[in-house]
Amino acid sequence: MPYEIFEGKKKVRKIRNTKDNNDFDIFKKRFGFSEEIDLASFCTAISFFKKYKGDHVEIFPPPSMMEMANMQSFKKAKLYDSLILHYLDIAEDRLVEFEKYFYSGFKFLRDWLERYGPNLNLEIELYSELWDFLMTEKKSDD
Amino acid sequence: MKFLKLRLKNFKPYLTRGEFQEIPLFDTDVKSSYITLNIGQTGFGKTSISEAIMWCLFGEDFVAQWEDFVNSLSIQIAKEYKEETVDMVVELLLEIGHNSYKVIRQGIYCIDSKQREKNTELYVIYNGEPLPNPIIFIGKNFPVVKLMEYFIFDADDILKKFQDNQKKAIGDHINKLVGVEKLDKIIESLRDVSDLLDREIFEMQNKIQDDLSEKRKNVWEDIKTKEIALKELKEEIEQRNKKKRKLFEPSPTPEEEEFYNLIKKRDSLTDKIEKLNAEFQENKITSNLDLLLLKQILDSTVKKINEKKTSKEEFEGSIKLIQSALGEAYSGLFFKAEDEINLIKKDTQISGASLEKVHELNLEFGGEMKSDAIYTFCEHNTRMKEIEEKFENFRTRYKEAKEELLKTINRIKLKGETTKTKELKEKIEKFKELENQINIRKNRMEEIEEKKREKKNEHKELIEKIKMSEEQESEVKKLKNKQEFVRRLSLISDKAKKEFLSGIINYINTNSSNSLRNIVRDTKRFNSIEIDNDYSFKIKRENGEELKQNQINRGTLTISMLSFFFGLSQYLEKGIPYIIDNPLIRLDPGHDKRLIEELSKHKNQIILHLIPGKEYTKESYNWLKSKINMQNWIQRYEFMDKDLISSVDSQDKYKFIEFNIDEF
Repeated sequence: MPYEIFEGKKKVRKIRNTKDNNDFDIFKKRFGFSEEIDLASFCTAISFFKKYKGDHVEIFPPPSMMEMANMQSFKKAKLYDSLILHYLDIAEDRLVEFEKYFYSGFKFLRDWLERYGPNLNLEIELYSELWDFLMTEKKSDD
Repeated sequence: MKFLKLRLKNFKPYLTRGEFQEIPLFDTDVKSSYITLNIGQTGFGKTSISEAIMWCLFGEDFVAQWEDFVNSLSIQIAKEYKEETVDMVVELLLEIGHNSYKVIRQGIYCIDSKQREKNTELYVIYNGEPLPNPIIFIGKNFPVVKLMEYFIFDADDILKKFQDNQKKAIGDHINKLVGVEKLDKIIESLRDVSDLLDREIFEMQNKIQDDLSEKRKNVWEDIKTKEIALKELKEEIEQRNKKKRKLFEPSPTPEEEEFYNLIKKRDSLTDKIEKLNAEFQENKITSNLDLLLLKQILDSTVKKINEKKTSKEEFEGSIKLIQSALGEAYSGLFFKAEDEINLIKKDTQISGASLEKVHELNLEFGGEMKSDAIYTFCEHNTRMKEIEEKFENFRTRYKEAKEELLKTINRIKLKGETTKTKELKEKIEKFKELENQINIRKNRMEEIEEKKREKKNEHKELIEKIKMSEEQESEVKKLKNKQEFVRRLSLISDKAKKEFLSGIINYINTNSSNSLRNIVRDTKRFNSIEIDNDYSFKIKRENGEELKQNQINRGTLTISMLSFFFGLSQYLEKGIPYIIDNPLIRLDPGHDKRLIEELSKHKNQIILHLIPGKEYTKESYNWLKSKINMQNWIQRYEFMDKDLISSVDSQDKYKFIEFNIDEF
């Protein structure tokens, strides 16, 4: 059977909920992403990283989803598909798994921005502080 | 360009009656070197040569009170002869390309009024005829007077300026001298034209009558009102900024100056961070920052394996991670040579000795796998590495600037709290109030900008609904084509500017680093000169570490600064000559010789003013003679004024003579 990215799915989805969706737009603007899918990948990578570090990450599916982009415009689809298949060892519903990690990263980002973001205006400030936080954050049970 | 000869009449120590005093500056028969030396004791008239050239080229723009330059003895003599005025004249003979020009500046001093008769006269003679507009000739061939200080200067003075305001000095050099500033102006004008066309299009579309025309008109009016409000707020901010400056401008006390300098530092750091952010946005690395997080996982995996802290479970997890990053098409890693790693494609047949290497790398726990193989994968993944380097570079620069900014803000706060001077306290209060007013206006501007954007979007949507006649459509299309053309031109200019700048900076860095290495020859300590995009100047060790200010002595700094100047001068087409006072005085033994050797490679004319005994000895002559174009000995004859006045027709007070090594 030929290898198919995300089992041949054609669309990538985002969260339907209005509040989440508004926040998503705000984050996209504040972090300077030109494409929604790039912010979604960033959120997913945050969840992967936190999981690897052993932080407590609650991974569960988002409430409901709607279309975000088609698969051709998701340039890193193969990488994330491969990560889920090999690293997470999940063969079925890999795109659904991607959505779960994306949603979890998104929620982390929202909490972080609420706590640390109000005084951070420039993109470089945001990234620099977020990076320091991610790299130095201790596990919650430490 | 070459300065061939200088002729002087009553300019500073160069007293004459009748004939001019002549100083040859370049011998066109000598092709091997472009260095001229003027050697003379302090106070004998070396610096006056530099000043005479500046006055000749720029007159009142160089020095408003040029009456002070008129030789005082010449005034006494003129009085003796019952003359009413004294002529001060400087003639500079120069060569541009293969053409010779004579630039003449004349000032007439009135003895009675002790003032000029009128402003100076400037003439430029070419082929025996005066040019109709000599000022245009100067403007075309020389930078403005302020920038000439980077060509005609005292080594110590310029070093101080360079240390005090390094970025401005370098920025001036690069932006103004090479014309980047002009490119900036072009880009700005193109943006203005684009805005103008934008307006024209909107105005035209607004004229079209349909059901939505009223609504469109209202939205458009709203946008215009917001633009007016923004303009007003901008003016109000500018007025308050001026008031802020004025608070500390008229002869401040040292304490006030210190406070104001801190404020200036704070503003420049804030500006630096904002520019850094704009550069960060332009680089568009954010869309790949997820890869960096994944690289962190890979790096951390490798570290664990190296430290043998990994369990079988973790190890297998890591291998899966690596495999997933490698992708399905690859089955492993393969060392082709010691430092070259290849990915092995699935189902590739590997034979003989290579196969052994593959077995060494087999991805099995407890096997012979080398952890650095995985690391090499990360290292070789150029995309991740490139992004990581860029991001780290931005983060470091941001953190440094932010730390400095926070320190400065604290010092400002402390100064405000601890000062015991009533006047300063009051000024600080006023200053704070003005800053508050500015911040309120800036916030207001942001709000209006946001609303304006919304309105513009609304207007755009309304415009899309317009049904235009064919004629109207074609008119709008024409304007839009024009606008697109301007937009592209602006993009090209912007790109050209960036490429041009980074090209220049690379060029200067390479050339000035070579010069530094050739002169100092301590490549471990002083290996390279690096100018950043924000014009900060760094001297680096061989290991790339940046040297701190206190690790560089004045001599080495002088060499670095001159290396930078000459590195850039090779870029400038006009090749304006350099005239430098006392360049060797601060240098360590041996560096002077190598500096001259380095300078002798340049195609620009370089005139050096040296002090005998300190910068120039008999021994210097032996090694210098082959490196230079010509040398002059600036001599001074002392007379008692009363003796001179009666015998002035045959004697000069100060006299320049041709250099003679035996006399020296």
